[in-house]
Amino acid sequence: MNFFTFDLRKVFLVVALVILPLMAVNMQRKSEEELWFTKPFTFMGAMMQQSFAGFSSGVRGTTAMYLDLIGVKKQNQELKNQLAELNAQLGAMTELKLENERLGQILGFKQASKMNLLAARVIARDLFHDHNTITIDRGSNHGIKKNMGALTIGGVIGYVFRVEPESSQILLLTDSYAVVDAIVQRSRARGLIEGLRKGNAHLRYLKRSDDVKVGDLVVTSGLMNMFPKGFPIGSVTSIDKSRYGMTQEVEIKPAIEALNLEEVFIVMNANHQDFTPSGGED
Amino acid sequence: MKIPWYWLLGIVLMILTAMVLSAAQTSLWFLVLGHFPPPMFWLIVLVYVSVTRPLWEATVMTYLLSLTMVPFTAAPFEAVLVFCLLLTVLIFLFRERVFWGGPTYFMMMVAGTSLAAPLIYWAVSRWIDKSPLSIPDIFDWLLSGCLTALFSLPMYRLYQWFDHIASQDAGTESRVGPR
Repeated sequence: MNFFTFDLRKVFLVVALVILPLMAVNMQRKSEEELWFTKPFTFMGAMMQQSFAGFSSGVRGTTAMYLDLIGVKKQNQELKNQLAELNAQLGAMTELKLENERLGQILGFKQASKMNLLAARVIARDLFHDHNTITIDRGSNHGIKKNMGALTIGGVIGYVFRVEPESSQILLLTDSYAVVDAIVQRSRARGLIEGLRKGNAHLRYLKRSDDVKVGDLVVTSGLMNMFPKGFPIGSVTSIDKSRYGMTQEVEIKPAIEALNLEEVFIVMNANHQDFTPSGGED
Repeated sequence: MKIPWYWLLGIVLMILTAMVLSAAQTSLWFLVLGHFPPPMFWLIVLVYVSVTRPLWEATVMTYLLSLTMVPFTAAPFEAVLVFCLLLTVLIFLFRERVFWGGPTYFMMMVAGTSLAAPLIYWAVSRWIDKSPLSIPDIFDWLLSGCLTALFSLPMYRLYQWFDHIASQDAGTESRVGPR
């Protein structure tokens, strides 16, 4: 057998026998020491772990973010609901405040007035667009009679034309069937208010020579005690004197837009109260 | 003579509906939506009876309908009656020439009538009233007409159901179609 010829299996066996104890010895070394040949594996392993850790962190982050989003969405919905509720409460409070102010003014007017007034709430309007009437929640059971005047703080709105036990209908000044006796406050010229559509009225049967100017205030005459005397009806917006006519056509804008009212007064008895500024008692 | 109870019930139901809807139009609509032009519910009833009934029955219904409308308006009964009868006759004359029935036809008739009605009422006012009305507001007129046409479909179904109840009398003929 040649000296240099050897069995490879035996070589491996010897090497293994030599290396294994070396390894065992090396395993007893201090833990902080790191073997040179393990470094690449450690590095690779660390890299992979870091990658997985990063990935899992990303997954956890995404999951958490998604779960948080569900929470945020839910919270957002709750906050929106709260906001809507608060807005509704605010709206109701504002409405109550305005109603309170309005009713306070009405009450003040009623208390300051000599007239016997009945407050009523508007509950309906006319079936046809062409007619201007409103229905109130007071009727004959409350003492209302036909042709009683209807007004509010700012001026006259019309008069009662139909009475039911628990409701009444008011013909507004702007209705084509409405007629109210009136005078021009400045010149005391007398005429009849007749309704026009589109919120206006005519002051008719004024003599051609009567002194009327645009902007003049037209007030109630106090005739028949239906309305107090000198209470505002509206102001003159235009005057038409035809060349040969005996009268003049005067258009009036009512002091009150009655179709927007929520509460009105019915004049149960005007007690001859006079709102004329000069010489009037009030 | 046998009294046609179901036929009478159908008429009563229709008139009651007209009254309830007129009240809703003048009060509920006004209190909820303010001055936004309401649909003319009464007109839907009028068109329905004019389209589906013989002339004599449509005339009787128009009288009853006018009576139900008067409490809700300042217009006198005479003016309302003349106006409604004019509408009924015009619809009847139209239906004698053009008729194919069904909800689409009804809706078109309601749309046409609701657009024509304010003009006819204005004409009636000029004829009858001492202090006639002025031309109706175009915005209210068109919007109200469109809404009336829109509401006519569910009401058509309701009235068909009333007709179904009314047709339970023996010998009652089918009502849909010109005669």
